[in-house]
Amino acid sequence: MHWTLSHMLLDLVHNSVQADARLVRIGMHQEANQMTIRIEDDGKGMDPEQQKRALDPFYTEPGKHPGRRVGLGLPFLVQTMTATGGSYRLHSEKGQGTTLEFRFDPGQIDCPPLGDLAGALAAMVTLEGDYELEFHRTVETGGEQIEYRVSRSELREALGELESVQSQSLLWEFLQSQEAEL
Amino acid sequence: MAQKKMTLEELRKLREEKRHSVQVRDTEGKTIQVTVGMGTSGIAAGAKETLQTLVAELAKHELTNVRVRQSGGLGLEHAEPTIEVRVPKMPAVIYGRVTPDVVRRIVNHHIIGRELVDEHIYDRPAADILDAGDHPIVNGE
Repeated sequence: MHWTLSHMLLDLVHNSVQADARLVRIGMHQEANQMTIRIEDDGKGMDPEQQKRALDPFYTEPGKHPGRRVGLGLPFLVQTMTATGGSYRLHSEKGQGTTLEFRFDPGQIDCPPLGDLAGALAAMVTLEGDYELEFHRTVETGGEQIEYRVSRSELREALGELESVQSQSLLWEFLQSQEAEL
Repeated sequence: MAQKKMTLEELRKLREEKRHSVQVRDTEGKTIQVTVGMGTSGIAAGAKETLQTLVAELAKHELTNVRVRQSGGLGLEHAEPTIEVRVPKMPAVIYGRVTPDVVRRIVNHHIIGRELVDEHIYDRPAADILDAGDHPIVNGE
């Protein structure tokens, strides 16, 4: 199992980008003892049979990993949700994309910590490929809502490119400052 | 880190400032490329921390125009986290069990010092070295 929720998110976003998504939307909403995370992509999607298999740890998409037949990305999520009394919903259509929504209590004793979300987000926007990623995070405390939004295209525009060390270290600093306010 | 929420405009300005102070230290102006394997097993083994240490260490040494990329697993799941280092005129090397400490060694010994970190080399067979046309060892220099 991934040891933080940030690692899990990064892994799931990797799946979306590898499924040729042009747009990946991530929404994270947190209030009192409930966190809802939604990852929506317009990648190649899965038919019902593939969806069933995607949840099976002893399955991986043919050709994705030469010489290996296990895939643990989604099973890790299912395992975490099952272990913490959370829930998840996988909706996918072949050729249309995949939406994954999960809801859980982050304070539940068996729930992994959130971890370094800024670092995970930096890694999510610097994957190879031409895709857009929109991230929106809201935290509600005592009737007050704090939020931030970032998108890969505006970050790329501000930094010029996302491949150099210089860009990636500034990117990390920028994302940490967004997280610091929450 | 306690800091004020940065705006995109501030990010843009910071980037402009840094651009002027960048020293290009990779030799002969050729690009060094480091790829971090970020598949499920890589992430579970700490590849994200490896990536972050790599970026921080390269930035510390002002090796700012190294290209840092991410890929899926590099096929060595037993030795995660794994990274591939490509330095011009050196054989491409895949390192395994690359914890943050090992990243610092790779940056200092391989990328700066041009010496391989032997005990962490996991792959890139000899064929690769033989193919490295202008590699000094192959050419007996």
